[in-house]
Amino acid sequence: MYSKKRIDFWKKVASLVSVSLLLLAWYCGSIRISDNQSDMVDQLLINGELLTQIHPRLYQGTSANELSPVEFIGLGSGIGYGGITEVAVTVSSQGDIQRVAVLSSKDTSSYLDKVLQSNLMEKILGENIKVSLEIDGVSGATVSTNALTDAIKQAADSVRVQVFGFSMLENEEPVSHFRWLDLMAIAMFTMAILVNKTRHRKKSMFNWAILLSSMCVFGFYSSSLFSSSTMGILISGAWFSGLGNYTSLILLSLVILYIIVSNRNVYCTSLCPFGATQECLAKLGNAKTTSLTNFFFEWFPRGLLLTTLCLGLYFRNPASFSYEPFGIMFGMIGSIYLFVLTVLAIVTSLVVKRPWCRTLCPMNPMTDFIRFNRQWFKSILNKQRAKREIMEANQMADVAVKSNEVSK
Amino acid sequence: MFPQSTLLDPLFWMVLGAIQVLVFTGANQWAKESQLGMNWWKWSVVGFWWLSFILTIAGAFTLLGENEGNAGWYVLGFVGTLLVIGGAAILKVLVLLKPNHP
Amino acid sequence: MRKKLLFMFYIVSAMIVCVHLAARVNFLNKLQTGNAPLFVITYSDNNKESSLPIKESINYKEWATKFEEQTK
Repeated sequence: MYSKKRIDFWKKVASLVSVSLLLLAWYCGSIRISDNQSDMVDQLLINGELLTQIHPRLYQGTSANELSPVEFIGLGSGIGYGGITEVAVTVSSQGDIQRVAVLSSKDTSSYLDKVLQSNLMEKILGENIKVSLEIDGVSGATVSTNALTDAIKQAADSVRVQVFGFSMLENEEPVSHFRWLDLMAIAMFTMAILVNKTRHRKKSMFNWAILLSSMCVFGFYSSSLFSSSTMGILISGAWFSGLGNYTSLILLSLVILYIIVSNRNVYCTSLCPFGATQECLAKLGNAKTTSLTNFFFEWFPRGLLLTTLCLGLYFRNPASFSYEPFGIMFGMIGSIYLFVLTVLAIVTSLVVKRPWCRTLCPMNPMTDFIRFNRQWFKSILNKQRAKREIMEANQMADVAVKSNEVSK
Repeated sequence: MFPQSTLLDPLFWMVLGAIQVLVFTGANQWAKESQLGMNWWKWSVVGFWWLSFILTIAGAFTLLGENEGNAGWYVLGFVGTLLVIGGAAILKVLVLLKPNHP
Repeated sequence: MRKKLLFMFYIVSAMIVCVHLAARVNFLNKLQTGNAPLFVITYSDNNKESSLPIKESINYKEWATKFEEQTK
């Protein structure tokens, strides 16, 4: 219907508009953020009437008829999945923990809810901060638990220094968050590249081996596959201040780098755990490939991903904005809507090959975007090179003409 | 299903019983037409799968009826999906074990 | 047939995803405007014997009357 040139032009416009919208979302988000921390802390006083700040991580509550402070409120932060988790702990003047409050969190709400609904917080109440706090973990939400416990310990320590005069906090390096899974991610990505490049007759078997291992390791075992929230974390720079889990970010970065370098996406064909699940189900149900080719089906996922990333930037909470069924599939955790989506995707995979990949998976828009811009950049470079070559050729021709005239 | 009604309740269960009979005879007929070569242990497996399936639906809707909305849907979703996958697997095995007629 | 199935899957998934994202936006908006902490838990020392805070005990009479009304 439209010429290729015209389509290309609109794609360039769309690409620029997308980047502008992301920047606009970031900017609007920064306007929206207000420093309401002291208001929040004021609500956490129990017996005190007046709140005064001693230093950024410590407040004290005083009462009219008491000379010394009746309670202290310590603030602490821990590094969670999507960024920093802030906690406030109200401690009596004798050192007993009276109240614990989560002020903010950048973790996916389902994981946070899981931790908060366990009795982790209840066990801390009434404990005295003179001794080290022993806090249990919550299985299936390790990163969120660690963020909360680190934050609580830091908050308690601020008060401990004030009340008892000593500190018990060990300084943890963000580097300690790197695990063997991160090395595994790099190793398996390298293997995926090699398998995709090879022309060995058993290529298909090797590919299946990597797919199945990835499904087990990055899927069921650790649920560390990346999603649109990882993309949001990457572009928002939330990883600057440290992350609780780097595996998904490493995988995403490797994928993006490889697409930029070689214009190929090996993740979808050889590594994606959810893709692997769909492939297994397709084999079981003899599913056949089919696709929908229409302007709407091509552009809706792109708009969806752009909206999700913009919302993540605006609310400064990319971990809250993801719409993939992975969390339910591998971690048994997520909202009821995504649960229904997971069931749908699994059942449809028995009949249609890779339905999620063919419809709403954000990998397709991301890959298309990177590929398109790579192509555009290359064409600009090529045009400039061609211009330079023409200029050089003209210059040499001029020089040749002049030398001819001189010799005459 | 309709514990308060003396008319709808028995009617509902009669209809459900009739549907089950249709399912059993239909399955038998379908197995014969597809020449699956069913025997006692194959029917046992299929029977076990069917029993699990109807128990899951019964359990899930019982939970829904007991005002445990989330629990009901989650049982239907998790166990139901696993059973659908199991059913597909059983079908594949039955087709693979089809006796080859000359 | 498969194409129709994929089409239906597409439409239903798209609707579910939109509803999910709208719910998230609503939740985060409320959180921001509410200016309250995400979660607060307080120690109650009414019961001096246990060190764990008291949870609200179930009002059995209220529950029983509600149940009776439901099953009438």
